[in-house]
Amino acid sequence: MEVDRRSFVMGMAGSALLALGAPRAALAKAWGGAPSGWTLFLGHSEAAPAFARGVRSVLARAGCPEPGIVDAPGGPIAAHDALRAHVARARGRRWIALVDDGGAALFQELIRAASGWLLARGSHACSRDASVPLRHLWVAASPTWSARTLLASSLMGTRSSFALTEQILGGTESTLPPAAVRNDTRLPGSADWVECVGQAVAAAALGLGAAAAPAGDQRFVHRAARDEARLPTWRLATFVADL
Amino acid sequence: MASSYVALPKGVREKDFDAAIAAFRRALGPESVLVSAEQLAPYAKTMMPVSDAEHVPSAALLATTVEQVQQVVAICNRFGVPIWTISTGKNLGYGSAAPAERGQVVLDLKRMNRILEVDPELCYALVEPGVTYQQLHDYIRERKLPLWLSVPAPSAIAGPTGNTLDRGVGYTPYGEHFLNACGMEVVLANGDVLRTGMGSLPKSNTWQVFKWGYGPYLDGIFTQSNYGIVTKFGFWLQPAPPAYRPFSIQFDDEQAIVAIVDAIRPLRLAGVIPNACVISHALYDAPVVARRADYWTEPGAISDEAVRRIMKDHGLGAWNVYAALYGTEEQVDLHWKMVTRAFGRMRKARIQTAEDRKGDPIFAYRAALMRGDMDLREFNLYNWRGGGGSMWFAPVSQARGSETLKQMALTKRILAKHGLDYTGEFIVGMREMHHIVDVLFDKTDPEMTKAAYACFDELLTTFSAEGYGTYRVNTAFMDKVADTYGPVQRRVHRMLKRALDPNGILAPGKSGIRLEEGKDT
Repeated sequence: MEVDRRSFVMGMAGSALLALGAPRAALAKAWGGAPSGWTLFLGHSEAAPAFARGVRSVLARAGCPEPGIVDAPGGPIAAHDALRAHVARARGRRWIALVDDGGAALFQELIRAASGWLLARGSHACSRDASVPLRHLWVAASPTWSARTLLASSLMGTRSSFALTEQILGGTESTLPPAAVRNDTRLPGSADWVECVGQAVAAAALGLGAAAAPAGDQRFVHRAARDEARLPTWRLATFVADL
Repeated sequence: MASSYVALPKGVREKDFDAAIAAFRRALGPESVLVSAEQLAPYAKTMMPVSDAEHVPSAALLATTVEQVQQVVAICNRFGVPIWTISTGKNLGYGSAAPAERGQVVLDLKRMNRILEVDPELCYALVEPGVTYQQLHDYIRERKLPLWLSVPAPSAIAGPTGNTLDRGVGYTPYGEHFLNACGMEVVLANGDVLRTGMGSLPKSNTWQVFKWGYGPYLDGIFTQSNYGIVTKFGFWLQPAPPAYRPFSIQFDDEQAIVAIVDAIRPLRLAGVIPNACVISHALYDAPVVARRADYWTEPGAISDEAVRRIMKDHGLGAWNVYAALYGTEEQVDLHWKMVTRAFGRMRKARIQTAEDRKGDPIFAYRAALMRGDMDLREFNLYNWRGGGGSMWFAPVSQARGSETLKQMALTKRILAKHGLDYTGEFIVGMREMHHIVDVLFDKTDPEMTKAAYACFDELLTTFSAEGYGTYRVNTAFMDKVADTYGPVQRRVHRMLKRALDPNGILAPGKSGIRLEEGKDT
């Protein structure tokens, strides 16, 4: 009596896809190549509109196709089965995901369980209980997926102080093929910090922030002359992964 | 010259690692040997207050058979490469899937995911290490088997092998998971395959029904250790009871914890309440329904006044007991009378049935876990402080009310000193009690991250000085906890290590065990 889990998961995929409203097109593809399309997972109901605006504007400017949207307001905690089934079905795509911190723990595990490639992940917070209210921790697998210059230049538009820590796990350039984008892609600029994060994450996912810096931790703090007091005090986590 | 690897194992030259990787590829196939940074990043995230770079692996290997595991250990012995084995790698808050030391090779057994046997009459299962609780749950449900699982809070995504080997627990009457383990297959560092208990006897059909076999009982040394790689795991399942009655009891006074534990103990020892009773503090339950930022935005730990507002707004007690009754309707009715009588004597105890708390997501997730269902809502804890930092602090004490207030006061004082909230619960096992505290912190805030490290260190130091040992800990603090159990135990652990793994290739540092004396002298 031996049972393999994978066949069961595949059997579930169709119904779960309907529950999420996700596209049914299955793109079976090996990992480690150029992505066959983009998926934008929105698992944070409050921040989703601004984040999605930021991501879509950058992808559009870069000439990328419109991403498939997977909208799951309760995030991976509420929609874990459906998310798992969706990942099992639609392989070979580059995912940009927005989740809360509880969902981030699950999304990270889902990437590994699916043998996905994790290009980068971020933790982004705006709160008034720290010395710098707006804070970002970005972990990039390799310098190709660095976001520090992208985030820094984008966040300047918010006219707020911010701190940015970047960890690069491996010192060599990614073995993944570079994304085909327009050379003149620029970040559009915004006063909304969540939209700025969306822009920077999308640009990093395209490899536009590739840094020459070695592996390790880098930290930057920008002090604004006068902080914008009305920034939404949200916490979000982001992922860029090939699944 | 820059290395072509994300990291190298300690003491291994790149040239030798090249040769080891080539040998792994021949043994497993090139697709099952992961070395690129993007492939390894999913293994590198921890929730501890240290840089993930300190725990990044040099490679990850995906084995699918026992023979491949034997080949892997042979290659590791030849090149001196250390491996860190994971089954599903969901030891969240205790180190996750990341190795204890930078550069160790992760041996990921997730593809060894066959359910080998489920016996509905004798109520046991034999599985490979990559099998998840969700997989077993689906299997049982599809076949309509009258069996229940016992799962930890990460339920669906975790698995019985890894959870039990780290001596994790669940919330049903079978919740002490190692107590219900029965038979392992273990690949030793020399490549031998050991079947414990009755499993070594040819033609025996009692491997999953009789634990002890003949001679010294060995299963225990393969838990929280690095003496072998478990490739098959047997354990007992609970027969589905005809009746199940979850309940909760709320208390508004924090001091009531003394009386609560003293009321629960005799009910547990007599088997009236057959599962471990959770006594959850308001702040442990709150993240399912409330946001911290709606009640407290100042630096430092949340105030008692804010906690009281959360209790009032969301119908929580300062303490919230969750337990259940199992058996026939007659048994459950009888035991319910005993429970209500015991707690009815306590002033201001609010005894609540499932009907009373219908629609309450907190009760719903607790009730699901107490019947072994998949439910991920406890992950909302990570949204409380936010920022992805979490460490489980887990001291053990006697199950006496008199042990509670002192522990709670110590914990709250140390947490508050470092600006962190008390998010804790007591779990009355049988004669012992676990005090489980999720030390939550924001990794985007370097100051808070530093404070969390200092806080956890102080908690361990203070509690061990008071005689409270920690039963399980994350990889950043394993040596410190091992030290609290004294030098003789560390020496014995090392003697076993030298005997069973003379080259020290299996998970150096797990539970503070390694060949060299190093950190424990």
